[in-house]
Amino acid sequence: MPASVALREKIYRAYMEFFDSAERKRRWNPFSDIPWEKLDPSRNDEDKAVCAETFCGVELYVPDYTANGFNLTREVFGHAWFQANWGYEESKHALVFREYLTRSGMRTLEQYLAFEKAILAKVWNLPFHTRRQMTCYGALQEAATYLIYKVQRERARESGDGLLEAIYFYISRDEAAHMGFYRDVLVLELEEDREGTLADLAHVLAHFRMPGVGLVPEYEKRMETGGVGITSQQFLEFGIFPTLRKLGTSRIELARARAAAQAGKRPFDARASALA
Amino acid sequence: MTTDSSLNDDMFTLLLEAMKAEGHDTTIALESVSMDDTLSAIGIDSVRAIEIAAYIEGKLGVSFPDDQLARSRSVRDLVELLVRYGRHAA
Repeated sequence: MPASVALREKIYRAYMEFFDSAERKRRWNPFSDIPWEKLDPSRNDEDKAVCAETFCGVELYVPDYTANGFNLTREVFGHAWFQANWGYEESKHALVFREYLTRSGMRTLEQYLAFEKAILAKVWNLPFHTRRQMTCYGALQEAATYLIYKVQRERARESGDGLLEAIYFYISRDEAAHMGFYRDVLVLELEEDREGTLADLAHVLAHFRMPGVGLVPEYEKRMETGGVGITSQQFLEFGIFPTLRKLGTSRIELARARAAAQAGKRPFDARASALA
Repeated sequence: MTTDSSLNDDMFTLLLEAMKAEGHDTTIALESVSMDDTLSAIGIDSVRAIEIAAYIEGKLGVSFPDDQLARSRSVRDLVELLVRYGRHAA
């Protein structure tokens, strides 16, 4: 269903706020803002490397994320322009992880390039096929990603690793901003069509998977490394429930929306259901 | 009068009923679920926990606080939550 003129205008304004804030408060340079002089090889350890490499792998799908995202959002100016800004910011994340892995010596350039080649041998495809469902996905996925990076930042701070703390500070701040934009857009979508948006959110939740699943080599094994993921309970407490509160809904209403959709009162987009 | 022990049993049974109603009997053998299992070990992730809680809340006419639901790590934690909030409904 195409977005109404009123909704497109509201999303434009939400993007303007996001962009203005990003330009004034959140821009950072991977070379001059990261304290590379604090790089200390004695702090190297394989868990840190696996974490950074795994995050880098997920961020390396920026070409697929943006190509798919642009096609889905191109008719809604604010959302499409957000996609462009989002892609720029995520591209820096991959870049800074690559620099960290190779500058620290935890990965040689050859090892990094082999990893990159393995990543790009696979293609990321949209897990959902409408703009609104992908907005739901974005709100949840960015929340999880923010939490993961926040945990990493706290670990780095506790261990006195100033370099890694700075990296995760900048990246987690970006992810929090992305999460905020998706949540803001979902609030607007709810104003436009509450029942349909909740049905979409319930559908996305029921089929939610992080983007690296099935793509990043040895993903399951990597998940065994401390801090590379978050627990289901953490996602529930710090990701899902705060999202529902921000949207002014509850898991009870969400469950009702899902039940109604499953009962056929409000069928999901047929293509999305078939492919999910 | 309902004893604590029988209430525990009732709530454990209700939990299994909810898991079956939400389709978990297709992925795990419910008869093998025990109080000591962690939720992750029996495939109850964050989304499944929401579904199961919604089913039980509907049955009991109660509402569990989000934070307590989120902090449930095991079947025992969930059953204790059900007992705590389902005591007056039982």
